[in-house]
Amino acid sequence: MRKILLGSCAACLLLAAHGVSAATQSVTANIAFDAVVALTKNSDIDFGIVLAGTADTYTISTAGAVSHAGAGSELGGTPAAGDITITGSPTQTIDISVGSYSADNGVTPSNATCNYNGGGEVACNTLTGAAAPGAGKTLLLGVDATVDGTQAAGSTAAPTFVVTVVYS
Amino acid sequence: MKSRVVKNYKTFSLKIFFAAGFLMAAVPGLAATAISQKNIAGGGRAALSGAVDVSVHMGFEKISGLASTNDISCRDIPAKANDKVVITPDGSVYIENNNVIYMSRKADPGEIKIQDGRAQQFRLMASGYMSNGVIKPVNALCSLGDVENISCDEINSVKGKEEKTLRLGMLMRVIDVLKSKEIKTQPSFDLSVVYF
Repeated sequence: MRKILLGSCAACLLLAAHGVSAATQSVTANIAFDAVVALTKNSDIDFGIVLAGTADTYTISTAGAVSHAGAGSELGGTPAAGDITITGSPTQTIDISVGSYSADNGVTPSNATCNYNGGGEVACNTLTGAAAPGAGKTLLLGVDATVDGTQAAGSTAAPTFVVTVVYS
Repeated sequence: MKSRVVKNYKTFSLKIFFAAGFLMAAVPGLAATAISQKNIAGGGRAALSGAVDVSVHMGFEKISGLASTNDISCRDIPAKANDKVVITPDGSVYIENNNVIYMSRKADPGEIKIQDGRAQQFRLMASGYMSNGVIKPVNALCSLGDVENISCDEINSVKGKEEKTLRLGMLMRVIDVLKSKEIKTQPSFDLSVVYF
């Protein structure tokens, strides 16, 4: 019984001696600050007025020029490409993608094209590692629109798609 | 009459018929989202992405049903070189020579039926003036609805309707000396209906 008590006491001394010998480790908390990427839509895409009741696929370029592949026809109106301003980091590059194509009144959008920061027209989903938007860079949009030919004269269609921008 | 579509326009080519000769010798001295800013949910990239919905607007219309029921026919016009000839959309004919205006007998104005069920507005555009022989068409004149006898290009906001009758005249110049009493010529121009 006595031996046991002495043993415990020795252990306590060892513990006390160890507490006195302290070491310091410096830990750095790295936090990078950057701007939230933001998209401001200046204008939607407008194909103008096309021939009713005739199936065709129309294309509007990022310059706003409308063409068609089949029996349809462009009749007028004021065609316009989409126009978005992207703002965000002055240093972080971005990836641009499109999706969630949604049809309306028999018109189905597809194959959106992008012209980011004047870099030329390309398929939007190929834009990876694009220039940091900084205080604002322009993204122009074109798209294909497949018309099923069921549209009545005087009707309109407003299909949609989503443009997403993420930091690379 | 011939028709062709020039890009955005429905175009009609209209000829002006001079069915009979100029009687220069007979009458001396006359001649148109909402923005949703989204952050992608699901972790640390929430503030590092943005998305926006883009709408694709498209309007649909029929091609105008343009039916030319009459080309412009001047009949007999006593004109000579450098005269200005005006056929109004109601068929009156005026000949201007040395600042003196003569009125000639009535001619046949052009007439076009515009047929469709447009919801959009349109304007008229005259172009492609083609001289033929000694006659140079200068400016197409139109009457449509309540608008009468103005330059067709000034008809720039017409609301669609099932049918409208467009009457046509023309301002022309005789650009050369007439070498025969019997000159028949068919200058032409294009008239386009342009939606906007």
